[in-house]
Amino acid sequence: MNDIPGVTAAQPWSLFTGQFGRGCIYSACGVFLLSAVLWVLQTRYPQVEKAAKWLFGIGCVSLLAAFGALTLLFVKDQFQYSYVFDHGDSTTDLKYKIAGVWTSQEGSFLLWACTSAIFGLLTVAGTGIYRRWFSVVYAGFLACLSAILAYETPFGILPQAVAHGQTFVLPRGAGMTPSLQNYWVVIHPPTIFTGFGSLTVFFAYAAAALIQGNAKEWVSQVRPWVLLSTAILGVGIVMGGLWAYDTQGWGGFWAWDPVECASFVPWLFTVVLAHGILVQVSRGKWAFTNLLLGGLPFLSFVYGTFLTRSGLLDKVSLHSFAEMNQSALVILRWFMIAVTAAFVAGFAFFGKRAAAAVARPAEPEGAIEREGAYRYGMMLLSMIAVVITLGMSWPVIVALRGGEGKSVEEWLYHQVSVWFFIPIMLLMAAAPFISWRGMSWRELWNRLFTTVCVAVGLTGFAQMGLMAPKIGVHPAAGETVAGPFHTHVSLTFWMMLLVFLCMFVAVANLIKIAEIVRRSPTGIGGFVAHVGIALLFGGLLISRGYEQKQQIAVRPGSPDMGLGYVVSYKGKTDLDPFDRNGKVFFDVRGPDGEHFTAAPGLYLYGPQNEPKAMVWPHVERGLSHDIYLSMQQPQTAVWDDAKTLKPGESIQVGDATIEYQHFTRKGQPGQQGTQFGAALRMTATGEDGERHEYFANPTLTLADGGMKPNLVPLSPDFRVAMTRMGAEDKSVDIMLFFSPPIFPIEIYYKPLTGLVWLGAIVMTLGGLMSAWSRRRVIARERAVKRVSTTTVPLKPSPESG
Amino acid sequence: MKNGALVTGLVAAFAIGAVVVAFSANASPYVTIAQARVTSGDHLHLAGDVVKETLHSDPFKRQLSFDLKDASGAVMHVVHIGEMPSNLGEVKKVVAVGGMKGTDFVSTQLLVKCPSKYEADTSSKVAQN
Repeated sequence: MNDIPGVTAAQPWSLFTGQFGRGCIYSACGVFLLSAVLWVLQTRYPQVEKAAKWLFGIGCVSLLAAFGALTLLFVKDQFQYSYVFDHGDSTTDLKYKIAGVWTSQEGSFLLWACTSAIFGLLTVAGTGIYRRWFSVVYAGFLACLSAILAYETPFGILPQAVAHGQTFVLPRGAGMTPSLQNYWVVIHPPTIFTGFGSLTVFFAYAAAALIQGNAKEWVSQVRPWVLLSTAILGVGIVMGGLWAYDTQGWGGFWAWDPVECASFVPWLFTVVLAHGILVQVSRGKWAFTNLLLGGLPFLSFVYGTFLTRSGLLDKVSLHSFAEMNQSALVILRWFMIAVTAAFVAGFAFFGKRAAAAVARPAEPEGAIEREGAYRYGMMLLSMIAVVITLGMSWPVIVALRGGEGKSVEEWLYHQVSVWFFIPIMLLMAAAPFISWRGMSWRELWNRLFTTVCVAVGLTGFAQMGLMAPKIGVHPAAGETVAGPFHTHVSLTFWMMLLVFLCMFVAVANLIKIAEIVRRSPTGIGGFVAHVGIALLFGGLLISRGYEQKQQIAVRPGSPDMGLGYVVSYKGKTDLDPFDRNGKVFFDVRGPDGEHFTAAPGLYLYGPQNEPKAMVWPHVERGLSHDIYLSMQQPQTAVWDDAKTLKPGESIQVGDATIEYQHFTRKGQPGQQGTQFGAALRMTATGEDGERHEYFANPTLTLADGGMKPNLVPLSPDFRVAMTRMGAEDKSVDIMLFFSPPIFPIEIYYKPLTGLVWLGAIVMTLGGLMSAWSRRRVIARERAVKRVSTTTVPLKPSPESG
Repeated sequence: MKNGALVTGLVAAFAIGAVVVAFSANASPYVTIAQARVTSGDHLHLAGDVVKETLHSDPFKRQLSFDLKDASGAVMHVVHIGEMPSNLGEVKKVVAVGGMKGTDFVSTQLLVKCPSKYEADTSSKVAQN
């Protein structure tokens, strides 16, 4: 093996790094288990507390060290490790080498373990009275994840890399799938897994509160983390959508794929929890429900992980997954079942007891009160989460009942979720104006009247704007969308209704912000997030609902037009065809003087003799609309198979006719170098509108290896080759090629897509603002407590009063 | 208040029940090639591997055709009319959504299984053995 160029013996440090990583995972597993056991014993043997705390920290650091070790192996191209070999590549940039760590199952589990560990380290010290059971639950979970990682290790050595008792470094890795090689792979997974990691915190808190029998303090302690998690998970999900939009070439953000659903459901439950906590903190209610809600984000994520990694959905999901290592899958399955069962049982038996400690204020006086609005809003959000969970599990549910595989598709998700979406939006607009003490319907209407009027007016303006010729949204007259129960609704009416809902939410929450910003500048975070959600949904609805698309085919020297945009070929990058930065340039001229150069990506990858083409779409972002050009790989062959012609026969290609006139021969049959050919005549309409004649004589040359064809120009648009001849009837097979090639392009007009990203930014800022303000509240409460326990205040502090 | 909670619960249960009914009635069936030939409907999901050599797209007619091989090894000629997936050269598995027209399966939607994050390479399977 030493003789093969490029293969070198593995350095001792690299073998040590792998062993070290493996060791870290084993030690994390053991250390977390020990920490959990010591914490359980802590009431009987108080002296073990210190050790239990230290072990928890050591476990977390071990996981991070394992992550560091794997990253080092990737950065240093240690392809003797099978995980590095499968996902690493020595020729890629450093950022892709690092991203290689989380491109597959093992690494993403490690990432989940690490982000959970980081949140564990950040939160554990502030858990106060819950620390004991919080640590037990948290350490127990991390021990399970470490056990999964011990079976499904990213530190395994390729059997092929070992020869004569020595390990060798393979010269190159298989590399990351080309479609992943994009900056999003660097930032999206760490962001979304940071969000997933944070879910463990609420779960451990809720479980600890159940066991301790105290459902009071945990909500205010966990609150900033819940809000932070909402923001991080939200931004992670949006990044996933942006990634799909930028690279996948289908012009959309969201496809209701099980993997997407598996991240969306925990986010919905986290949002529900955030509102449940708000009610408990403000009104002292719902302590019981919140205990359950605290566990749901984490449990739904574990379920989603199990569902998408178990291979059960292999047929349905667009993401293809490897089946997990069977032992690791068994651990994951039993962890999921045991934890869910234990949590639900704990909630059922101890929930009431734990919630009893929380005081309930007097019942409200009015017909409707804020708590009711929250109750219905949370219920609707939870129901959407349940519906999505049902939808993504549907193939499995059908299979369990003995049926054939079935899947719930995008249109069905849309039809079902809209029933929940409309009331949720109405509540999001109305709830901020409903008082906690209760009010009559008339009072509420009085408060909302202006908002409704403004929203209706703005919707009208928006519709006028969208229909303006300059914006270019022109739905065909009478265009409809499918409604429920096989009805059809006018597209314009339907869009106006949905846009109105978004406007209503945005306007209502903006008015609320204006009302309270002076009084409580930090308290506006939630309302800001609502405005962000309204913008985001508005953007999604308009850009998808009023989307237009057309397929065009552009050739060098022959532009094509679609949706009023003239697209002409300008050239391509002067690079090696295998260079990842390869691009094709098109000049795009739109109506109203819009003019830009589109540069969709095109390069080859794979083996030199049988390369595959990789294309990236071009997105031209604008304030009023995006132009999305999805180029498919250039076409050269005109037909699937060669066409057989006999002398005198002809064949039609578009408006052109190709006639096989007669057989030709140069040289003696049986002699090397003899050429057999077909005299072809083509007539076609040229650019001047006249019929033109072209002639070509493709041949087969008798050579050592058999008959060699050649490719000859036929007309400015085509080249032709002869691939076979029949000796008896002088028939020939001909293949026709476009010359130059055709670039098929799907052009999309997507109005107001920018709102999606603006909305996502506003939503995230809102979430972070409220997380920050809640954190400050906790810090203040702690300070007050410290003061009141150490000194005797002369008069009551303003905070406690 | 108790009544309110009860009504809320009933409405929620009813809504979820309605969704289950909607899913049962409308979820799109996955079919094998043998089943596709005898099933009518234009929302059939036919999953399988693209036979690379037969892949051909016709920019004049703006359609795409290829042979699809399912798990049982049966082969079906698929004609796709509609949005073109951009990286068909890269993928192997696709799900064609559509129905039979004569002897061809005509699809209006082509779901491309992106060989994404969690795909195992053959080499890693070797490594595990």
